[in-house]
Amino acid sequence: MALPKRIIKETERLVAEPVPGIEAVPHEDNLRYFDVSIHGPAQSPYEGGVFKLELFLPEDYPMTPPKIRFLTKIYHPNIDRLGRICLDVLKANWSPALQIRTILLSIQALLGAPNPDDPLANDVAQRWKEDEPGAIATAREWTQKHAAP
Amino acid sequence: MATYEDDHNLPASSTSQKTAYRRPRPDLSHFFSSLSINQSSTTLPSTPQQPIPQVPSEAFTNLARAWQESLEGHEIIESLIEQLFEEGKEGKGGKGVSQEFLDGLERIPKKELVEADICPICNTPFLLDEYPLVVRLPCHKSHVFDLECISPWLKLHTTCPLDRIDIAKKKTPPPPPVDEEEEEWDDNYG
Repeated sequence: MALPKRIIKETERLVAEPVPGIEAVPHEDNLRYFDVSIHGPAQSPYEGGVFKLELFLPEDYPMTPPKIRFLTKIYHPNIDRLGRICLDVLKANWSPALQIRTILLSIQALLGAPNPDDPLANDVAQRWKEDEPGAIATAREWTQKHAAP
Repeated sequence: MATYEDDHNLPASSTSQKTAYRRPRPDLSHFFSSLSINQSSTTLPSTPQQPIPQVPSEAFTNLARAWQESLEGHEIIESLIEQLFEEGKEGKGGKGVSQEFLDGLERIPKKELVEADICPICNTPFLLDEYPLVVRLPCHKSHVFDLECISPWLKLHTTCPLDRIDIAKKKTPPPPPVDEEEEEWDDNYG
């Protein structure tokens, strides 16, 4: 099936007007598959890190959300050890009016505002609640260790 | 109608070779036909209309079947297939609106559209289409979409893509310009 016009337009705009701190580059041989990197937001434990993600647009995109996961290890209550992300707009709250760029912005925002009450990584979330300074220190360590640019 | 070969300036025989390289793809025609809104444009007038499954759960089942036929021994895909079957069975997907609801959505005449108006789903200006078929959702007057873009969404969901308001909970889309006094609009609608 030909690549829908919408995907072409989104890709063009991502390249022409990139979102600050976010890069998304489609694979040459599969324009539905993107290499993404997100810079950790300032004043978060992820500051200074560059996190790699993979993003795939399924056949019925935008009727279904993009599939996206972290490739870089990250210590975050809403991201599990496989890099899967717990984010409403990637599941039940997806809307076809959302786009790749809005989703990536949401993920960047999630890094700046972890939500341990809606955890995907249970152990991390528990630690986040019981010992927040400790959890943040670990997140910072992991950022230096795994997400150094 | 021009054939594939004509379009691509190829000798007629090369098609069979080309198709031989292709990996088997699932036959999704049933799935898409169960979602498509208007078959009549593609069928000849003499052909009787094929019954289109109106229930989205049927579409899930069709999709599951299509994938099942084309794939073997792929665990992740298989689990997805099962999930689809279940959604089909449980009627979980039966959340969308009816064809009648889609047909009843307020149409926007071409003369009311301006160049800057774009469909939030395909991000294409409505007026790029010579005959734009644009509808407005009942939640807000600025929430307008190509009928072609909003239909597949509303067949599986009842929410507006822009504000997530459940439009099925509202009354049926307001009947085209009726005076405000006519309040006793009978809402027999499901």
